[in-house]
Amino acid sequence: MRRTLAAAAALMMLGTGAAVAQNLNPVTDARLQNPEPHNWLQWRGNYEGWGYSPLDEITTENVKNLRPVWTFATGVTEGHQAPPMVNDGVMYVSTPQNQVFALDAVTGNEIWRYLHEIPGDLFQLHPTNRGVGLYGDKVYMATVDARMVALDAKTGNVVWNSPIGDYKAGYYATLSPLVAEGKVVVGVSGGEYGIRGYVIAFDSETGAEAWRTHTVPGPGEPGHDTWKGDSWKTGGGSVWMQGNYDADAKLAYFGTGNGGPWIPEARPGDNLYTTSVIALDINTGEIKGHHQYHWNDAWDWDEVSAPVLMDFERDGRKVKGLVHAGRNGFIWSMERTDEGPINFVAADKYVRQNAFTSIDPETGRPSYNESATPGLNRVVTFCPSLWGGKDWPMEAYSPRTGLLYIPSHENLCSELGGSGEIEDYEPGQLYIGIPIDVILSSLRIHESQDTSKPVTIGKLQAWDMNTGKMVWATDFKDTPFWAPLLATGGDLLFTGGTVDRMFRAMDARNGEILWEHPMPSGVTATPASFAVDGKQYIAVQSGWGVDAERMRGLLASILPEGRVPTVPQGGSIHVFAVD
Amino acid sequence: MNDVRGKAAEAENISDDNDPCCCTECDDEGLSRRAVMGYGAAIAAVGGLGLSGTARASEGPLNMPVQPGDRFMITRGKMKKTLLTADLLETGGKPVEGFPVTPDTNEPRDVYRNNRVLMLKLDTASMDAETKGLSADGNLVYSAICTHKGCTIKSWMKKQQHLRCHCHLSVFNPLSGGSVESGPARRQLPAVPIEIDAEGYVVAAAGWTETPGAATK
Repeated sequence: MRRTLAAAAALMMLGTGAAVAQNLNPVTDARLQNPEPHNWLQWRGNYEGWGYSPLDEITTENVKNLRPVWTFATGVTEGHQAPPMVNDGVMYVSTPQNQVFALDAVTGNEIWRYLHEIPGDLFQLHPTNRGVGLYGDKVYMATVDARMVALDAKTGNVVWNSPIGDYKAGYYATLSPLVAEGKVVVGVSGGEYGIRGYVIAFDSETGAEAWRTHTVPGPGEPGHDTWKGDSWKTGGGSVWMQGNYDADAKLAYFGTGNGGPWIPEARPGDNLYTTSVIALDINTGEIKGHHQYHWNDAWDWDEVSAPVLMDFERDGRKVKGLVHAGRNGFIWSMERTDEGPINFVAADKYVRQNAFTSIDPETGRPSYNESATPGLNRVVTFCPSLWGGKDWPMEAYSPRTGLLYIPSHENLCSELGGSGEIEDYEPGQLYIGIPIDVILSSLRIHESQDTSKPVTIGKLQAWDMNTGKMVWATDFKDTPFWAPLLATGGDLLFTGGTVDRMFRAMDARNGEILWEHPMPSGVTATPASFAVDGKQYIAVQSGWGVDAERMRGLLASILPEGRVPTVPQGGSIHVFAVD
Repeated sequence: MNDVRGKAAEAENISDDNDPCCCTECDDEGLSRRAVMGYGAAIAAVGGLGLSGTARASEGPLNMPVQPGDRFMITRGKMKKTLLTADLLETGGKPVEGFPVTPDTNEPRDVYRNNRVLMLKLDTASMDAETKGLSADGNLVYSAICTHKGCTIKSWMKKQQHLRCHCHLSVFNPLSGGSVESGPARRQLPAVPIEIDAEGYVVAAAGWTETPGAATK
C-alpha cells in the first residue's frame, strides 16, 4: 500500500519539480559539515544546532516587503513542527500523521508524497513530527508508530522500513533523524508510558540496526547504581529531539527526558542519564561523556533539547562550548572535549525558578528546595511550570550578533503532587504517578502578576554567553510562546508561537518586531531559509496543536474570559520572499 | 501556594468538583455499597474460571472486537479482575476501565486495544432516548479510546458528568450517546449496547455501535 501510493504519486510528477528531483544532489557528510548557504539540509541548518542561515538578501531594511510566494495544504490538523528541508531546489516536508511531501521549492508544485499508514489502535499523545533527515539519495523519517522509514528522494518509494520500538508498549518517535557517518540516529518518546529510553542508529543504506544505547543503564552498565530495585525498567529518559553533532570529534550530543514516573520517590537515586546531555560515539553508540542538569527529577522537566555547539569566553578563556537553555530555568554553559567528557562551566537563571536553592560552582549539581519539590504525598507549587522555562522550541545562535536567542515562558508555575499511590504499570498506558486531572488543573500564574491586565507569558530573550548576561528581551502577553527560531545573515529572527497566528520577523540586534503576517493557523514549526537562482526565501509550516494547544487551553481557564482566543487548526506550508 | 494565583478549580472544563480523579485509580471507584458485598464473589467467579496463572487462549478471539454475549472485566484499580454486574457501580460515580471478555473462558479481548471500555452507571432519567437504548439498569459501556487521536480517556468531570480526554481535551457526553461536547474530536464515542443476563452480569447485546479508534486526519 505504501509503495503503491508513493509510486502513483511519482507517476504524477510534472513540470520543473520532476526535473529538479531527477537532478538530485546527494547529501554527503562533507555537505552536512559545511552546508551551502542556499540549502537547508537538516533540522537546525547545521550540525552545531545554530538555526542560522547565512543568507542576507532579506534584511532589516527590506523585510517589510516580504510577501507570500506560495502555500500548500497538508490536509491534516494538529501540531506541525518540522522545518522544510531544501536540497538544490527540492523541498522535503514532514507533517503530523507522518506524511512527507517533496515539492518544487520555488513553485510549491508537488513532486511526490508519502503517506505513512498509522495503526488504528495507536495512542497518540503527541501527534507530530519534527522533520526528515536527508542523506545520500534518501529521505528518512521516524514515525509515531516507532518505525524508521527510508524513502527514495527522487520518487518517494520506500527503500527500507525498520522497527525503532514497540508502539503497543508506548514507544514512539517524533524527532528528526541525525544523519552522519552512514548512520541514521534517532531516539524514542514515551516518558509518560513507563518506557526505558534509548538512542538507536540504523545503517543508512540497509536499515539494519547499527547500535542501541539506553539512556537508563541496565545491570552492569555504568550509572546503573544510580537506580534502586527495578525502577530502571520503567525509568523514562526518553529522547525526542534531534541531537547536535561535533563532526571533528565524531560525537553526537543528545538531551534526555525526565525520569519516569514523574513522582521522584518511585525511583530514588540520581537516575543517570535522565535530564542530562550525553555524548555518544557516532560509530559505536558508546557514552563518552555526560552532564546531568538535575538529578531525580520531580517536575517533568525534560531536558531533551540538545545543547548548541558554540564557542564562548568565560574568565578570559575561550571555551569550546555546549549551551543549553534548560526546561529547569537555567542556561547551562559547558565545555565539550574531543574525548567526550563534558565539563560544567556556569549556570545562569533566565526565568523565575524556586526549585533549586544552590548550584555547586564546581560540578553544577543543584540542591533542592523541598517546599517546591513535588512528592508522592506532597503537593507543592513550583516555577517555572512543568513546561519549563523553555520546552522543545529551540534556541538560535547568530555568529553575526554573537547572541544566543531563547524562546522562553515566564511567570508560569505549576501546582502538582501525588495522591499517595502510583498506578500499576501497564505497557502502553499512562504511567505518571500523578492523577491526570491534577495535571490538567496545575497551571498557575505567578503572584507578582496583576491578571486584570495582560500578563507577560512569552519572552524572547537574547543572551551574550561571553558575559552570561541578557542583552534584550521582547515580551508577548496572554499567549503561549511555542516559538522555534530562525536567525539569518540579514540580522533577522523569524518565529511564530503565539495565539494570534502571526509569523513575524524581528531585528536580531534589539528584538524590534519589523514584520508580521497572519497565518491560517498558529505557527509552532521551525522556520528555514533557502535560495534558488540567488533569490532568498523563508519557509515555514502553519499548524497549531499538541502542547501549545494544551497550554493555551489551561491559560484560557486561568486568565479572564476572552483574553486567550482559540486557535484554528489545519496545516499548511508557506514560502515568502521580498518583492 | 502563597506566591501564585490561579482559578483552575473554578474553570468549568477543568474542575472535577475538587475531586481529582483518574477514573481508575481513585480508591472508591464509583463502587456501590451493594456492590462491595458482591465484590468478592465476582472475583471468585473469575478465579474459578482459572484465569490466574494459566495460559491464555489463542490470540485470535482476544484480537476480535466485542461480541454479543461478552461480559466485561475491570482491569485497573482495586476492582481489577472483577466482572461487571448490574449493581456493581454507583450511579453518577467514576467510570472504571476494562475490556470485554470471551463468554466461554472470560479472557479479556485485550489484544485488540480498541476494545478498551469505560463502564459507568448514570441516572436513566437523564439519558436521551438513544442512550437509554444502549443502557441496562443505568449501566453504560463506552469506548475508552478517544476518537481524535486514540488516547485512553482518563478524566471524569463529575459535576458535568462528562468524559474528557487528557491528550487534547476533547469532552464527550455519556448521557447523550457519547456525543462530542467540545474539543478537537469530531466523532462521538462508540458504545456497546448492553443487557443484564440471568446471573446479573452486564453483557454485550451487540457489537460496537461504530468502529472504535482514532480519526486518521
